[in-house]
Amino acid sequence: MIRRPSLLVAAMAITAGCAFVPRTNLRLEEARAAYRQAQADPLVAELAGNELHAAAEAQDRAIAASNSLDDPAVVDHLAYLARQRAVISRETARLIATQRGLIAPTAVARR
Amino acid sequence: MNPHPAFLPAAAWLAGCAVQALPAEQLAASEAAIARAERAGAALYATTELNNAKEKLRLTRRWIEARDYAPARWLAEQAQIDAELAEVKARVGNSRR
Repeated sequence: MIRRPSLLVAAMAITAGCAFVPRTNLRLEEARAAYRQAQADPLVAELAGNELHAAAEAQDRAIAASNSLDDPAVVDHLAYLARQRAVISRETARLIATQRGLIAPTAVARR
Repeated sequence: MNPHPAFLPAAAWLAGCAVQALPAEQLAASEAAIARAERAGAALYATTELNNAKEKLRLTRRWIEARDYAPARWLAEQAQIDAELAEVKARVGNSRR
């Protein structure tokens, strides 16, 4: 992804005379929460390790963009991808577990 | 958002041609992902995700028509990932029958 320094935010940080602290980004928090859920699910690590790894990488990209003076729109976008990657890893684990008969094939309420 | 015109050549060079070019490969990948999701039954089992993917693909094409390829690429990437999620959920739905 291309870096587009958010000049306004940088100017505000400089004039405020304090170190730049990334604003809380709602999408990024959603991504973090989704990733934590995927990490906490033992089935995900066991059955969807590749997808979980892809989710971790997407998470890292989103956080890196947030920590740099990156365009908030870029951060939002990367955070959205990261969140979806995490959800995909959980659904993949659910799929494989169902196919292998590890969990009962009953309807489960989504999120 | 738009860089000063004087900086455009440098920005484009720094950006690498990929960002400035029409994201044809990404568009094809997004379309393929949506097709896969539909074949997997996403219309029934992952309706929201599939509709999100299709809507984003529609917006992707509009941005391409407007020749603004950065947001086009972002939307296409999101369309693809929405479609991938829809496909997995569809397979889950099918395996639960």
